[in-house]
Amino acid sequence: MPPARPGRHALGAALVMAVAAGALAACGSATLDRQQQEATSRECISLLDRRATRGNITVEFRLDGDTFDLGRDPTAFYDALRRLRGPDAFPLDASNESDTGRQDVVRRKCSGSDPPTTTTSTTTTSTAVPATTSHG
Amino acid sequence: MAERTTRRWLDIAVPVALVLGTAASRLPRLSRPDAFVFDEVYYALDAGDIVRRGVERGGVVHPPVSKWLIAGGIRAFGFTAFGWRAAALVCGCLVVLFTYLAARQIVAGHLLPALAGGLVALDGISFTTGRVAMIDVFVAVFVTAAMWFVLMAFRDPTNTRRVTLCQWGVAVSLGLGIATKWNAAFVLGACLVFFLLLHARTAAGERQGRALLKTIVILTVVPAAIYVATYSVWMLKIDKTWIAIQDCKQEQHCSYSIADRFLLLRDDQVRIYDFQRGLKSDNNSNAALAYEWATQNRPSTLFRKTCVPGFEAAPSDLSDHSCDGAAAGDITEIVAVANPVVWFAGLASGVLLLFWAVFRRNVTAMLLLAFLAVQWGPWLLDPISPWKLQDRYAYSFYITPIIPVLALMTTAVLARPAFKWVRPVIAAATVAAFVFYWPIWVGKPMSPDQIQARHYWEAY
Repeated sequence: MPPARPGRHALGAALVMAVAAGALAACGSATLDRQQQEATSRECISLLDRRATRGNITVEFRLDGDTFDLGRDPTAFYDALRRLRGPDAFPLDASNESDTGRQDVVRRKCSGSDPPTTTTSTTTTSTAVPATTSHG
Repeated sequence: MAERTTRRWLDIAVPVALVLGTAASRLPRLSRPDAFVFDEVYYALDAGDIVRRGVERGGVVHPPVSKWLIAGGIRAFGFTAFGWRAAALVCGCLVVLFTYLAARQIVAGHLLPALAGGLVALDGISFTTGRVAMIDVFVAVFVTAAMWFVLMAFRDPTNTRRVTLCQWGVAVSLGLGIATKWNAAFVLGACLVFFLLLHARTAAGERQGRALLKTIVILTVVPAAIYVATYSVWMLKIDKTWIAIQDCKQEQHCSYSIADRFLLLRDDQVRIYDFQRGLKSDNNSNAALAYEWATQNRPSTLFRKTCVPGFEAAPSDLSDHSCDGAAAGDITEIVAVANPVVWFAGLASGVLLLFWAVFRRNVTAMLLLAFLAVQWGPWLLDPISPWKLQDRYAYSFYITPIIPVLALMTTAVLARPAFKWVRPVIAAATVAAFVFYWPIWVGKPMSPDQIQARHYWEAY
């Protein structure tokens, strides 16, 4: 059996990588911008979902001056969130000159705040808040 | 003849089966949650910017390679949860493959190397980071590849051609590794020392001098060149970077010569360094001090949500779908915590290897312990090290590149005839633990009691 020739393996690997890179470049999605807006909106609403619960009960929170309560009328809750934080709320040029990138836009727009009065439900159990990110 | 044919067939079948098995175990629920998990909010959006504009927009604190890889997945599959996680899935499988190949350099046959790969595939840290668009799995793939090349070189140090090729492999792998996360530089430093010691032992006279010089050049110039090369697009599209936009606004200096571009790159690297120096996470319950990694007692929760009936009203396009199929009160969580069998067997093996390294001068033991030390040590020494003068809390997923080292340590120990009977025990216990803990690695909704039963780190 002839000895293995590393050069041929390297050439083969380079060819496979070139073909893969070409394939990736060729099959880009034209709807990428819209997909990113939708994903960002889903992230935002996922964060607000977790803001709206404490343990297995729902709690009120405020967003853009309005008070939201998932437990009262879930359909109205999501209708309002779609209006305020649907995909159109995350235009891709929103932070064009920011050193913080778009991630902090998401964090700022999707954290909500405590209502001015006490919550309508009492808390009996608690679970961890949504995971704090690191970027480390 | 028949035996050789079987062996050649196994040479292909075993790694292919490992990679396919790893992919198959990680694919279910890969798109759940259909929202960003932990730091995906940074890296997926940065990768989206790279696809669209060639460079990230701002707030960048790590070099670009991992984001280029994530961008490849987004380019192929769209800006969807599957798209931004696809590269992590592929690289997670490659980590398993490289661990298998590294194990083949230190133990005979296919079974034990397959066990090494299996330990990585079924570990919780490897599993969770191999399914999310964060950077640690990409560091792991380059560091594990480098480890494979080092072990291959030390298998036959007299084969100068192979040693040289392995040096090139290490240089390229770790050049890309450092261009993913700077921590890989510690591994590169260790590899440089390994190869210098290898040449000091095997060559003599003028030949030794040449070999040492060549090693130094390959393992310093090549990684540095690769690192700078990974910034080539950044330098070409510098007008779209935040640092240049600010420069343009403040200095009214908006046209950049090649020298200007290198100066801005230097400024950007200083900015990243300053960010990392100043990063403290001591107010973050998800982080731990590095010595706490040993007991896994403060793992990072990457995602957690308690499912309430109201979530069912969420329209499909707005829902993250993490609670689909859940009962009221169920919890879905993804925790980057190690498979306890893989982790503690690895640490116990490390103790044995320390004994072999000290008293038997076993080179494989020394190499594996060194790989462990250079990846864990900097975090442990952080409070007194020159690069950081304060406590730096760290996240459990930072140990992703350490898991293959632990798997190789376990394999090296199990290769001894005295431990032959332990092999099936470790294999069976690893699989059983994987099945049991799988729900908290993929975010499968379960009752609070079932979730609590899986928090083994809270038992001590």
